[in-house]
Amino acid sequence: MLFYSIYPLAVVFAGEEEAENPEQWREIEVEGKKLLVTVNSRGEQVIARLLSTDPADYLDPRWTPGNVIV
Amino acid sequence: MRERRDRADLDGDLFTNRDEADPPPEEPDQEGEEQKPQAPRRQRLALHTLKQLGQMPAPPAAGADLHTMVIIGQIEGHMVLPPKNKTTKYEHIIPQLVAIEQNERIKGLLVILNTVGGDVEAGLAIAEMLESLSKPTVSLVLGGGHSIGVPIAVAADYSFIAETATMTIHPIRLTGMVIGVPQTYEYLEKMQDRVIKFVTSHSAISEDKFRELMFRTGDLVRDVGSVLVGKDAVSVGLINEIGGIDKSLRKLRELVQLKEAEGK
Repeated sequence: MLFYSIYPLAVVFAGEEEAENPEQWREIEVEGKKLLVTVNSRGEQVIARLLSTDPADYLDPRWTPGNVIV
Repeated sequence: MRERRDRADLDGDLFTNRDEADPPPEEPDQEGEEQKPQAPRRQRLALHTLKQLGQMPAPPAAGADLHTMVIIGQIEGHMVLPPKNKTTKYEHIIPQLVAIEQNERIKGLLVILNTVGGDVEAGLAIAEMLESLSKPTVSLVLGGGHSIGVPIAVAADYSFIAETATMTIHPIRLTGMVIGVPQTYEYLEKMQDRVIKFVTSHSAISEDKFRELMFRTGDLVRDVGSVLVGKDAVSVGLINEIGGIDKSLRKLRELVQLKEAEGK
């Protein structure tokens, strides 16, 4: 793999060996909107990022990062 | 009416901040306002927001026919980076670009860059997609658009950079196996040439000038080629103009109108 970045590789890949929880990030779809969510200790899905190219979607308060979906 | 209400209730179930009490009576005035010429789905969402938060949803942005794509953090390639990295994933970006190309309602695309670079293949893939998009594209570099962000910035039809934003051009580094020095060197040269070719063929910068910037030693950052701040990026011909969001959107509108006039 070729990497072209101003960040040193050691910084980018630091912590790679640490125990990783692959379930930490999840991509889900709610009402046709793709959301990147994390799962908190109570098993709830917390919105981390909205994946959309429509700027209007970001004005919808329901997709605000931090909102919880059950 | 009945059915719409049911749907709204369903939506409400998805969120924890749901009002457990019975839905408050709908306010006919506000709802009536909301029933302007909009798709049924929009009405349903509006109803939902009224109930949950007691406020009207934000109006759709006036420029919703212009979509935006934000390239942030590291551009992630074939390897998933450790989770502490903020990444832009090409498996998100590429399908979005395909959707934008096909959606007739979308007239243009604004690409905002704030990236430290990343995987060469993935970065070039995004740049190649942008470059071949039939709809007008404008890129805007904010803060920084470094390394593999450079070909993405120049792939747009017109590019802007904020006055204080920077772009770093430096040699490509190799990770992983080194089979033999001459082979590795040759491979690296080839990969580097791909980036150089893409940038020089999509911007006003000459190949010699770009190479010079890439391999310049003794600049501010020792190992790292050259740092171009706003105006420098424009004066070497890499970026078209200094500007921010206002200029970028105005230019994009202009390009859209130009394209529509051509189509007639």
